[in-house]
Amino acid sequence: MRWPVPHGFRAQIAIISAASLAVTGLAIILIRDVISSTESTLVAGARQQCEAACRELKRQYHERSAYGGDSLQNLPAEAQDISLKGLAATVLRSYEGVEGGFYREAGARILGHVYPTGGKAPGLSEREMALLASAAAETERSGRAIRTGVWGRDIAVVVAELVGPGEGAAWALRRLVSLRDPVVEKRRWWLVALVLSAMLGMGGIVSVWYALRAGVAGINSGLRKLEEHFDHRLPSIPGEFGEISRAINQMAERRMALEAELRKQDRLAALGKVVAGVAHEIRNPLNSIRLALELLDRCLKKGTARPEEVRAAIAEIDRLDLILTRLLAFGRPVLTDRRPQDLIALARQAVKLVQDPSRQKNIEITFETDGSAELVADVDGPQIQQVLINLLLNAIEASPPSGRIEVRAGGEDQSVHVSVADSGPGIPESVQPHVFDAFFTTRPDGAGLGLSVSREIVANHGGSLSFQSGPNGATFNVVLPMERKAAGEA
Amino acid sequence: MGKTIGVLVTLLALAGASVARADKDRRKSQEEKQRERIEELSRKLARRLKTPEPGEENKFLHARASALLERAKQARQDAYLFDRLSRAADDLLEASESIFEAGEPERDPEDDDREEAARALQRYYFRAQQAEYFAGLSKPVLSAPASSPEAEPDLYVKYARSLYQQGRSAYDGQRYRRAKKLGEASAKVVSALENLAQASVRAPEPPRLE
Repeated sequence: MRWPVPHGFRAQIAIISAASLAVTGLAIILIRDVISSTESTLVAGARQQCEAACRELKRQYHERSAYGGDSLQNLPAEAQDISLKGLAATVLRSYEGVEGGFYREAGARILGHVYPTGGKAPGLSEREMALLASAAAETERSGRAIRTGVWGRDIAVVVAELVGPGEGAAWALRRLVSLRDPVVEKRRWWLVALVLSAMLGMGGIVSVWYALRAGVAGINSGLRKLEEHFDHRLPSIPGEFGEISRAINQMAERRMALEAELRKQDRLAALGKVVAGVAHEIRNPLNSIRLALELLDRCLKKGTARPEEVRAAIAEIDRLDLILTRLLAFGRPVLTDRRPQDLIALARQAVKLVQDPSRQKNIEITFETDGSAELVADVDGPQIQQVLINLLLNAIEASPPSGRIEVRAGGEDQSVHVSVADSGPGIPESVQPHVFDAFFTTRPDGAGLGLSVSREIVANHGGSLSFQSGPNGATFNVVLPMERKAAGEA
Repeated sequence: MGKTIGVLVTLLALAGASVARADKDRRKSQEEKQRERIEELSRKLARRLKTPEPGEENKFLHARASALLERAKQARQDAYLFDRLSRAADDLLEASESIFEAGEPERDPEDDDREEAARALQRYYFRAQQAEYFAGLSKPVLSAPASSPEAEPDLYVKYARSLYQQGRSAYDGQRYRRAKKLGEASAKVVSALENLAQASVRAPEPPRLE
């Protein structure tokens, strides 16, 4: 069986607080019980000790009467006191903490009172005297009496035993200090201190809870913002959470540096590909031009020159020009005409510009917005228009005749997006990883630069270009920030 | 009227003479008793002094009994003090007698003798333990000017303990009669100390009529 464990700080703190209170309560009850039980044990022990001492006093009294010389009754009280003290001192020497002697009912007189294990007998207080008198009076009826007096923190146990008719009683007394009184009955300061400490502990727990909650909330909020804007940094927080916050900030810094490095490496790799592609692309038209010019040279020598050779050379030169134009776009990261512009207007313009090729395939292009009259973003208009034209031309190329292309534009909190969805067969899975590679193309007349240039332009704006592909076609999404970002302009 | 007064005066004179006579009789009776007591103790002491070859303990006991008897004689005006001192002297002489009896030939021990001796020694042991307490209270009496310098209460304690120890050894040697007699002697020395301790308190004053 698995116990449900609460994960929230609030529930955990509530459980800890309840447990603390319960433990404190139990501790109080336990201490009280232990004290009571210890005190009861001590009192019972004192009673047993006094009973034994009393029995021995009585026995030795009778022994003395039988064998010890002249009768005490004929002596003055002072002399009796001396004899009985000698007797009691010898008996009570074996009973640690017990004092005692003899009690004569007549005149309520105490004789032979000694406390051999406690020095000189301190004398009995009025209340102890009353307790002894009460016990001695009872011995006349029952032979023996036990009394326990509790006065605040003082406890006295008295045992009295009748010595003989008219001879009074032997008695033994043991004083105890109440354990209960100082800690439970009157001096409750320790209890108050215990409750205060428990409350302080709970206050501490609540305080820690608030600190934890605030720290976690701060980090959560910072992480959310960091997710949206990677240049955001977590605020400075005191304590352990501050260390976490600093560590996250350092991690973000390192990641940004790493990404910049990766971008740089990507560019270098892309440049290598571009150089290879340029060499390959330029070599073909150059060969064609060379062949056309050699043919023209021979024809001129023969006097049979025709304009076709010249036009063929010009066509190859045009092709070279196209390649170089696109290369220029690819290698132009700096946005020269960036300003707040309406993306809906740019998209509509791009749709107009591809009307001719779409008509040739009888393809319908629809344009929808999310209801916004305009979607203003800080962009370089011609470059973004170039991106949209590239996407639309690709969509026309991919869609079958009489197909359909859907263009949608919309905005969110901090960004705008434009999507272009074609009705073609989708992008094969094997091709998808290379869609944005420079000079990668599946078309025989394609340069393989359209999508890679488009992604570069969008990335330069701090946005993203992505795609989803399925059996009913592919959709390319352009997401651009509404406002310019410092880090995105690199 | 004159006759009546004369009768009353005569009656008062007769009553006064009667009271004086009763007091004189009582004092005479007390003096007589004291004299008898002194004579009895003197005889006892004389008898004890005739003991052949007295041991160390006996010499001590005889000397102290003699000294106490002398003090008792001097304290005859104080009936209470006389009584305590004479009793103490008597206790010492009885202790001496017990020591003497302890030296008498022992009969063959029986089972009852052993148990009886054991019980008696227990009593004497308890009594011997009281010696120090009474010795402490006896100091004012025993260090009185009339007392000899060696009459230290500690000596009483020493001999009381020594006699008990000798009795205990006799018990171990199955000489139960000797054990009892020596224990008894020890208890008598303690009794003497107890009487001397009691002598340290003042005799109670007779009550006054309101």
